[in-house]
Amino acid sequence: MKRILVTLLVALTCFCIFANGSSETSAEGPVTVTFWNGYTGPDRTVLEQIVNDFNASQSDVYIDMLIMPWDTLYQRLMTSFIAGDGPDLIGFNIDRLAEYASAGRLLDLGSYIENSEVIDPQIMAPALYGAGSYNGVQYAVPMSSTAVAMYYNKDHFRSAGLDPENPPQTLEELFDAWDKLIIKDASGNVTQYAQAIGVRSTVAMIPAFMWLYGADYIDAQGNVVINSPEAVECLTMLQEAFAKGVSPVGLTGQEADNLFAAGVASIEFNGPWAYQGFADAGIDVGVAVLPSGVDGVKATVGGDSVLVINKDSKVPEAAFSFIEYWNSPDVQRQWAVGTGAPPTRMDMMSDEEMLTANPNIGIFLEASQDARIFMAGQTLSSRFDAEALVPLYESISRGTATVEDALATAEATMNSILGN
Amino acid sequence: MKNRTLSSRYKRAGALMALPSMAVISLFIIIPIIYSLYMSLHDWNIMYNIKDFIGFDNYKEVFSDDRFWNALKNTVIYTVAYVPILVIASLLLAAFINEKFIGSGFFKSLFFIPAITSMAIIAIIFRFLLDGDIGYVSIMLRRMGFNVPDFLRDPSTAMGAVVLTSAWRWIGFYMVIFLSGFNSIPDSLYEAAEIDGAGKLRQFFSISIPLLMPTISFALITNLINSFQVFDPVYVMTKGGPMFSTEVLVYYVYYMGFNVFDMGYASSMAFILFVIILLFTLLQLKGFTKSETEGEYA
Repeated sequence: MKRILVTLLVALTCFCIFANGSSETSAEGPVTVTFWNGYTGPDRTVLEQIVNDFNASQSDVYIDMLIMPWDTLYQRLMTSFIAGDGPDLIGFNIDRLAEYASAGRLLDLGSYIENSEVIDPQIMAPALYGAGSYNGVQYAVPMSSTAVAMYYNKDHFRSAGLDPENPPQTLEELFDAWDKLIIKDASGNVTQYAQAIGVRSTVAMIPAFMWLYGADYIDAQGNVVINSPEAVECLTMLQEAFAKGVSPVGLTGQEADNLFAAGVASIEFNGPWAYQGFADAGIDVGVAVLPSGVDGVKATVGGDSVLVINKDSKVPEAAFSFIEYWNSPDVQRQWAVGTGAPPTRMDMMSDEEMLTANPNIGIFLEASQDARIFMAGQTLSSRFDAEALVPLYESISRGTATVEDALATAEATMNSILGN
Repeated sequence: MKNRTLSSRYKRAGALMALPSMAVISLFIIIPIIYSLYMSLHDWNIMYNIKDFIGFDNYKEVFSDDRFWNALKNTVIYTVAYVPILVIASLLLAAFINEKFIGSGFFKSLFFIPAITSMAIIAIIFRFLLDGDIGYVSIMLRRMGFNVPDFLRDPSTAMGAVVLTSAWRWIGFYMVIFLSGFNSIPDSLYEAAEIDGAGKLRQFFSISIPLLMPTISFALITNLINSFQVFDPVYVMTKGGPMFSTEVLVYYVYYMGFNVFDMGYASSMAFILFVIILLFTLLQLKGFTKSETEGEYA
């Protein structure tokens, strides 16, 4: 009897341990969809409200959401995929898509989109929707579409004799503003930087400059094209700017944000999520699209996050039903008003209610017209960044290498990563 | 006959009692070490489910990888700076607290607080404190007239900042270890020395230090092992930058394993690190055991 009891207890324990808790289908209750994302910032509360609304709006699907820092998300994601208990639904940055799609971890959403009455490829934000495709297969649907804009400190502009309602519209005007905004103490130390330019762990600030100069990183055929006369011109300008103290060297994106929020830097390129933090810090903050570049070229960094479904999910239909809910006009309005991020739907561009509730959306919408996705479709984008581009930006900004040498090194490293 | 039975019973009981901890050690330490050796002999990419046996190719590649040698160099720099700073500072602090002045108990608790605080939290706090533009430390030093660098963004000072932050966290912990060592030294030795006219400094070097050598050796060995495995302050404070100046071996292993997903390559570096730590530990243990058995510390 005792032996039977022990055996039963062991069997029960094993069942509890090995029972898969990520997705459950019950005949009585709703289907549970596990949803992981990295929205830990001020937008978290808006996202939580939307998920709660969805769960309350029907009784068929329950979204079990886990929000964690982006770094943690990417670490946990791969190990959970390998262990076979990954989440059903994931919201991650578009630049990670190619990596996971090429590894066969994501579900082809083509047939779901075809049968959907909400997701219409013709009305989705084109750059982000297009980047959701890998090798002709649509793996992702936009979650948050955005573009980087120029934040500036209106008080600094006033003090420097610049018009706070008329921010720089060309690179020449930006450089002129830089010269007026830098403040140094008697010893020559910079006490106010003209712009906080992040070079690592940041939104792509330097790529925005590169595009404004007509330079690029990888062409459509996958060739490394970083070592170009346009790149030399752009990085020479940046090297000179760093040398005269336009920005501190070696900044992370967070440090650049901190400098702007502390009123120590006058300009920063950033996405809509940053606005509230700057306003809360007491900065009289202005937002404008990036200045136009050489020969009037308009460009900025676009992208943000997409929604994808785990290929091994047992509840893909339920997960897709949330994707549809997320991209419905009402929810997109709620997300846009709450976060300042433009909606994922192009048919909402002139939505009066949304534009009146949050005027910044109009600026980010305008910016998104010229937005490009950095390293779209590149499975090795994170390696390019860590091993080639950050060292390039660091050596340029610190003046430890000539622009030509640093570009040649970066080109060689990128080719080596590609196996060329 | 009876004695032999009893002896074998004791042995069996001992083995049974050691079994749970041996099982845990095997499961979480020995098996992973063996498995990492197995992985290191493969081209093993967890992202793409690639697993091809390649013999020692990963090791050959590691030894010709400049970034590995840079990471090893940085790890050695960290160790050489961190271990002496920590041991000497905590020893001096223990000697100071051991004087049992009014409020010494309060200071003991105060110095111990960082040891019970998460390294990640401490690293975040220090990242803010040491910021070259808006950090409190930098601002205060500048007000005092010092021309301070941007500690964490300058390649020549970033490692120093990481070392001091790590040492600051553990000083209180090792101070308590040394205090227990001080308490085990008989008062009569100090009394005799005092009668012989020895001053405090002489007593410290001629009585305290020799009798604390086993404790010092413990602190040296454990910190040597720990410093070769440093990761969290680097990850939080610098992410190996600027310009790879703080990239230590474990961070590089982490990068190759969890960013590039090349587990074979990461495992080969991890195994090399394991061998390095093992060799250092054996050498140190041998040295201290020899000193102890020959009565050098007596």
